[in-house]
Amino acid sequence: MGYLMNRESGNCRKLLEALDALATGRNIRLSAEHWRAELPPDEAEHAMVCDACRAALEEFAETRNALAAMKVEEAGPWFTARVMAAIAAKERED
Amino acid sequence: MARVPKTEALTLRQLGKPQTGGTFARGEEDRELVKRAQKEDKQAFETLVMRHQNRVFAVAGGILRNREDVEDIAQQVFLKAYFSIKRFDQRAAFSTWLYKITVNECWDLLRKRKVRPLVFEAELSQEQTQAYQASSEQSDGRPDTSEQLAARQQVEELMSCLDERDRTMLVLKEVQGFSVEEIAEIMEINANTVKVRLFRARQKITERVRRRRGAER
Repeated sequence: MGYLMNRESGNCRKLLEALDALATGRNIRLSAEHWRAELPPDEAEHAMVCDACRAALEEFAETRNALAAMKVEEAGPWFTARVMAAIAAKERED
Repeated sequence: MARVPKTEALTLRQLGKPQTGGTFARGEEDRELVKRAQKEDKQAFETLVMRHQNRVFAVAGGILRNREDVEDIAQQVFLKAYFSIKRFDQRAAFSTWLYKITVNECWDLLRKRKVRPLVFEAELSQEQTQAYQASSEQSDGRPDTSEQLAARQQVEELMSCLDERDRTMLVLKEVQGFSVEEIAEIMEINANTVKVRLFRARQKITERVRRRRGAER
């Protein structure tokens, strides 16, 4: 399958590029079929007929689903004040 | 209840720019803020911190697993940015420059510790487990539920098949929504290399997911 990256097929290459361009669906689990429908028509059709590209699409969906539970950190309410205080302290030090 | 300190940072209205959400407009506003910060305007820098802090946290959080480390690194990133902003020539976007500092700071920390950042609860003592769970608090201080913790533990296990570089790339792409080109710039590698490595990382993750599914049957 790896061989998809090395293949000269323009369609396979376009499909991979289209997959890389799909927006991130954070915290949402979606099927390969859903993602296929999000692809441009030519690439969506190609994914139906090319085994390697179908597998790439499935891997794409599996990975996104697996990572959906990943925690996304956010700054706490005091963070900006903490940074500015640290800058002031460092300036005093120097 | 603790009060959030009143900030004197500039609002977009004070900047005299329309409050548009587009990437281009955001980039233009950043450029103006950077110019002012380069002239030692602290309010402008404070506004830059507010605009980018969540993304810096998200990027660092994708590489490090401990909330305290993420906070320390995020602070370090903005300190570094503040004290080197005069040398930043604005050829790249401020955000790209900042995220590049973030990734490098995270990797430096991991290198300094010379330990794999990934630990599983099963390998920890009771004391360490409590510390791990405490570090898994949400940013508002509420602890994660046990289901959330278990799900995250599973993600960590899956990701353990990737090296740090591939893990970072995958998180930047699939969780944070960076484009291949942005990742290439942040990590200072060729965009084609990013594509190939992402492709292989997805294969590895899928293989693990399927193996786990097979074992559960």
